[in-house]
Amino acid sequence: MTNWTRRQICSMAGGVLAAAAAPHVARSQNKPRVVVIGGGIGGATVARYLGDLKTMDVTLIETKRRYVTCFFSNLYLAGLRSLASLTFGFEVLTERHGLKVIHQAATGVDPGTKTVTLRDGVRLAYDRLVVAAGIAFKSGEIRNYDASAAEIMPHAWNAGPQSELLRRQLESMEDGGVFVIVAPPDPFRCPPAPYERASLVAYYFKQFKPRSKILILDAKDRFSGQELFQEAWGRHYPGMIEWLPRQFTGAVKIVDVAARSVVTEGETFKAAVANIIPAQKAGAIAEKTELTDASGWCPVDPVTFESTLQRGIHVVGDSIIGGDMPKSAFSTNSQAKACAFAIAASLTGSQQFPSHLFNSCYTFLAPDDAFTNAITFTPEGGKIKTVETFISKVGESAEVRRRTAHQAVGWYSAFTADVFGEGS
Amino acid sequence: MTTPVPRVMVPGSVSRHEVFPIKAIIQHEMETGLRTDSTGQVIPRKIINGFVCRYGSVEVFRADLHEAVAANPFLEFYLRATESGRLEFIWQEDGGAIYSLSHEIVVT
Amino acid sequence: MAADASHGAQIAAACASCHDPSGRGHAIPPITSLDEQTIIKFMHNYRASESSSHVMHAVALSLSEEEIGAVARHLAANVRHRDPP
Repeated sequence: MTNWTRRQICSMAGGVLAAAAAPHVARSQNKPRVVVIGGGIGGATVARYLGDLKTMDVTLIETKRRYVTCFFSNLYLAGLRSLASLTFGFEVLTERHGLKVIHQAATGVDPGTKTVTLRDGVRLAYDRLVVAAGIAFKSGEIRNYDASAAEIMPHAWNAGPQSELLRRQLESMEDGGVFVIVAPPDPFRCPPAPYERASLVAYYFKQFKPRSKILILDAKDRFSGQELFQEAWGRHYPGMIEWLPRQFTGAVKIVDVAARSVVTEGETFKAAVANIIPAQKAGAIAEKTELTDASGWCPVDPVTFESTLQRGIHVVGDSIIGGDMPKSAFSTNSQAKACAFAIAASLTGSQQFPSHLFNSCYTFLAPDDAFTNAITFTPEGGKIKTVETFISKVGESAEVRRRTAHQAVGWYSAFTADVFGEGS
Repeated sequence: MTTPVPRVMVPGSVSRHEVFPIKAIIQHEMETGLRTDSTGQVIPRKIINGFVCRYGSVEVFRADLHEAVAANPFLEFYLRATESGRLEFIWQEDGGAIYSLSHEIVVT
Repeated sequence: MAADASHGAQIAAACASCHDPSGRGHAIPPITSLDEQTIIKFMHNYRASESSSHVMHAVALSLSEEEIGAVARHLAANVRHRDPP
């Protein structure tokens, strides 16, 4: 009944095309074969960097023909950016970066025979497999919140149709309404994002619906960048955003879709628009391939990103147990490069040099007010540990914040070119 | 500065002699007076320095808050139900501003 | 950018997360037309101070002298010219 993961959805058109392409893949030459499941940030980056080396036969499996980035999608929700500007295809990767893309669902993996089965029954053999499964939502943590409830109370935590739905609801909301954001427990994709969303929607409300309020019902008692957010909320949107921690509400337990309300331990909150961001776990194909442990996430070697549960299979991105690394697009991209060089080393005998893992995120408080962090990580004792953290400070000048917001836009175009290919 | 928004969570009705929980929170930055702005100037202290709860005309709970208390101070305490009446919650801010809420409680 | 798996290419892969490989830099400057010594000098300056960019300060602190040399050589050897508009 709950059919959460986008990768389970198979389009017929995609199936037919992929079937035509598959025999070509199957009879490929003597180069080592790498199959990558999942064409999000992690999968696309691994495939692109392996493809560029031209020493391996690289196949990327992704159901969708277009990928919409989650990062910057809060700008879309606030009416500051089009969804088209956040949408990327895989054409540049196939044309310029030496890899094949099959738009079809991977339905199964057999680590014993090292094969991936596609929806149409075609099997692809691999020497190394990468599973970049992204996230799925834990069902049952919030009663009544399932796939059909998400069509009324969107999560918008995978960008695309869910983002469009939430944007439409915010646009049609009357002035004076309450926009309720239910923020998830740790760990989850993009820790500052629920609060960036509140900031940018507040910016939209301030212009068009100034009597409206935003209420964040959090499953946590603190959150990423809290000081920076709260200072900015007071400065830009006084009285508009209210944040209630778990210790106050006891967290959201039930949603009432018909009444468009959410119920905590002690109270019912009525929403004009409700954005429910559920608790998360690794994407479905990771779970199905038995790459996840009891936590619901995938344990990996922090140098090679090879699963510690299934040899020959690497996992990168939001679905891994990343130690100190947050689940962000930048972290994922950084892991994917280390993973690609580790795979190249094991299959082609190239050298893997000590990896450098980074995270740097830009977070918008208003269109001309953004903050950033920069964190370096290193593998240590089987885990990923923080080396150093730098983060914007409360009280920075407006000029510094404006420059950061400007840099964020430049970063976006460079980063997406890195992932989806130069010229995309 | 954040516009302080107070909120309390109180049961609507309780039995006589029952011990019941009260949760109180106020959206407040709790500016410590220890930070500086981009020009190096000290940002003046502005915190919620006190909280009082009255049950009818009786003060039943009081807390003094200091700089080390985190933003959005949260308090949870317990009262014993005696009679139906008004619960009043008062937050005191540096500079003398007062934020308050009241709540009618029914004792059965 | 990383068309090989040399030491320099592996580090330069990290640069490409923020610096546009086509050399169109808005706000984040392009690094595809710098010579080796200039890159090394920049990295030393970034390492010494957080003030101009805490992202580059973090990156510079994480790289050894040998790594800075390797990435500078790689970037300088792969100088690209701006794509025609």
